[in-house]
Amino acid sequence: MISWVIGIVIFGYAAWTLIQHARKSYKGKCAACELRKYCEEDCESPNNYNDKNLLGK
Amino acid sequence: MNATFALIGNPNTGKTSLFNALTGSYQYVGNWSGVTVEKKVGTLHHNMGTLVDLPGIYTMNPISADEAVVSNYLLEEPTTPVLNIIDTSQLKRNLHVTIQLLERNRNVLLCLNMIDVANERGIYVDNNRLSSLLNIDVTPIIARKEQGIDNIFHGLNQLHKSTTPLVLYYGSIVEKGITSIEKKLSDLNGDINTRWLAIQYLQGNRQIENKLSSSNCEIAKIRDDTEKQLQFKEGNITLAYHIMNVRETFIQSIVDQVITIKKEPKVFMSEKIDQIVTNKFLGIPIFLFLMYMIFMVTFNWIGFPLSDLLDVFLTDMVAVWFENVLAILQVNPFIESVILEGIIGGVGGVLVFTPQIFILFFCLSLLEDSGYMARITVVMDRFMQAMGLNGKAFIPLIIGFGCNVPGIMAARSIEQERDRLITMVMLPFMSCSARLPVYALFISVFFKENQALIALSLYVLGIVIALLLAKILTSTTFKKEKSLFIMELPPYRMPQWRTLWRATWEKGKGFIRKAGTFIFGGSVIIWLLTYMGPGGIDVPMDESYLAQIGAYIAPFLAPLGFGTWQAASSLLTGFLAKEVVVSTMSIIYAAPEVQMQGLLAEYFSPLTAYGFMTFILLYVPCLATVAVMKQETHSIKWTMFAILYGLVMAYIVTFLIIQCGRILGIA
Ligand SMILES: Nc1nc2c(ncn2[C@@H]2O[C@H](COP(=O)(O)OP(=O)(O)OP(=O)(O)O)[C@@H](O)[C@H]2O)c(=O)[nH]1
Ligand SMILES: [Mg+2]
Repeated sequence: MISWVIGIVIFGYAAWTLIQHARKSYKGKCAACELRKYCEEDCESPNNYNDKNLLGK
Repeated sequence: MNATFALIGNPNTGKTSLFNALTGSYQYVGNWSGVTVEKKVGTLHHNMGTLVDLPGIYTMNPISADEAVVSNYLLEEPTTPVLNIIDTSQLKRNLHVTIQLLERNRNVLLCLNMIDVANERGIYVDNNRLSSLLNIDVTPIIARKEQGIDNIFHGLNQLHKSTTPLVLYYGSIVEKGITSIEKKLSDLNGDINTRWLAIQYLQGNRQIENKLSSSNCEIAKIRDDTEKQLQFKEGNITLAYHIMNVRETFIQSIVDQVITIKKEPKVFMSEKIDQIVTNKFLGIPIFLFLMYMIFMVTFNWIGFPLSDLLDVFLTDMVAVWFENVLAILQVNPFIESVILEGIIGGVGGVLVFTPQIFILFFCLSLLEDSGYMARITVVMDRFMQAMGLNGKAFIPLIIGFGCNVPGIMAARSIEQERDRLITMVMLPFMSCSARLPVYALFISVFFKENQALIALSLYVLGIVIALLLAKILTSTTFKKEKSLFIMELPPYRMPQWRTLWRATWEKGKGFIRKAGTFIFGGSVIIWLLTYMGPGGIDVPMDESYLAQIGAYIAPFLAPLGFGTWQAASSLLTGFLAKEVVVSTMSIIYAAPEVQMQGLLAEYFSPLTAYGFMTFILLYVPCLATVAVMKQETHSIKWTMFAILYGLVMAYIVTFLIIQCGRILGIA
């Protein structure tokens, strides 16, 4: 009985931490940013790296 | 109260120090320009509302990505009161931002920071005079000693009162231009001050240009006309220069009235030190020597002795205690095994290296807060120029020694987009603190004699590979672009214990949190994979799922000298986070009655151990780094490139090391 409880707690928590980690990483910095309201433009970097203006001929 | 205040000022004037004092937070403070690269929000003490910390700016016109954050904020939040902070010892230069803020509105509280530094140099400022000249409140403070903080709260309460903006007269031609642009903007809704917008537009503020793009072609014409007329009258000057000049004259008249200089300037200590530290020949040896000393402290002197104690504590006390408790609870063998081998083995295996991690963080904070950081950029500038970059790109790289993620964020302070992108791609080769436990583990087994030297060699190898990448990119892919290098050398400052301790703790806390969360999770899953196999549960480890997965990859690693399934599966788990490599190894190489160190010595030789560390250093960035890189480069292509280049480089370099080692007869 006690084994079951401990087992569920351990594996449940383990799965949760991994999912959280993947989710947080995926969302990246913006998820942690307290000012998400304005973030559409500038929590992400304002410069856009399209190849046009960077790559030579 | 729900008021919001914004903290604005030149770089390195103590904005974040003040932010921390006013809100009780522990944001990143450092003695160079460009520490803060994004917005940070905190709750003010005394329930006064919220405070937003922003990156430092020299003018409203953004050059680099972090500076654009400020312009954007001022645009989006036209009525937010501003806390303008100034380095009193450089009053004249700092006032340019103040003037531009006041042109927007007078909802500004001026903080004269670093009064201590100014007075030491014999500079005294008449606050009352300054206050009446600018018609705003002025408070002198010493942010890092938290002196004068109460006056700020008082001042913030008094804000909101007068909102008439400052009006400077820019001469008839420019004034005409301003008025015509203002007319075009009259239908712009909201509280934005159109005169301010017009002046910023004339001055060439890119962010404002974007904002006004709808009516762009008309006002663009006004700007061109104004500039032409101005040049006709005044000769060959730009609008931006003229506007700056008018402000400069105004500022000079103020400075003359408020500043008293009581001491003749002498050669400061900072300059004497700089002559040695940034010397052409001595610069790099001094830098390497400092790094060497850091590793001596991290490993030899303090790190390993402490970590040995911790090891004894974990294995002899914590593990034994758990064993007893589990025996009393009579749990089944499966649970006993997951706790003792999976969790205590895996998480404990990483936690043992907590002392090294904390000491490294402490040393990095020391570099950051003393002012040496800015000097490194000067020292490295020659190297970086040869690679087509400039010295400033070295700051994000050094921050990357702590963790690659903030390193990539710090690249925002680099002005040239090209340089910024290259720096971000270079960053994963900076040996972050998560790789330290791996080194610590192998060094403690194989390189007892030369601990610091081996660690130093790996860090330098990372830098060399990164520089090589920069060279390849600048000479093939990118078009030539002149790299300009402007770096302020702030005066050296004696770091304060409190600041140092906070900085160390804030970073170190992250490590402990990781151990409690996904290193824990990873350890449990890895243990499960070693416990189960195609043949059922509780199989011998060689027949487990983890062994099978590792066995697929092992042949590819054979030429590198560590083609075992154990090494292969450890490397795989490292993508989650590099520390997990150590967890995996602690679980795999755990055997009853034998120390893991002993078992490792059976599977690795000093040479292959060094090769393995090299591979760990270079092979792939961790999950979090990949995610941030994708976000900051806006490019999947570059992110993929960084991963692939890492893998290829890791393979080639490790192969060369192993083969050369064998030829030289090193086992
Ligand atoms: N002597 C002295 N040093 C200070 C004072 N306030 C801050 N400092 C130091 O100045 C340096 C810069 O402080 P930060 O708070 O990081 O400055 P910042 O304005 O946020 O810098 P950026 O984010 O780069 O724009 C740190 O080394 C602080 O310890 C002060 O009142 N007196
Ligand atoms: Mg800051």
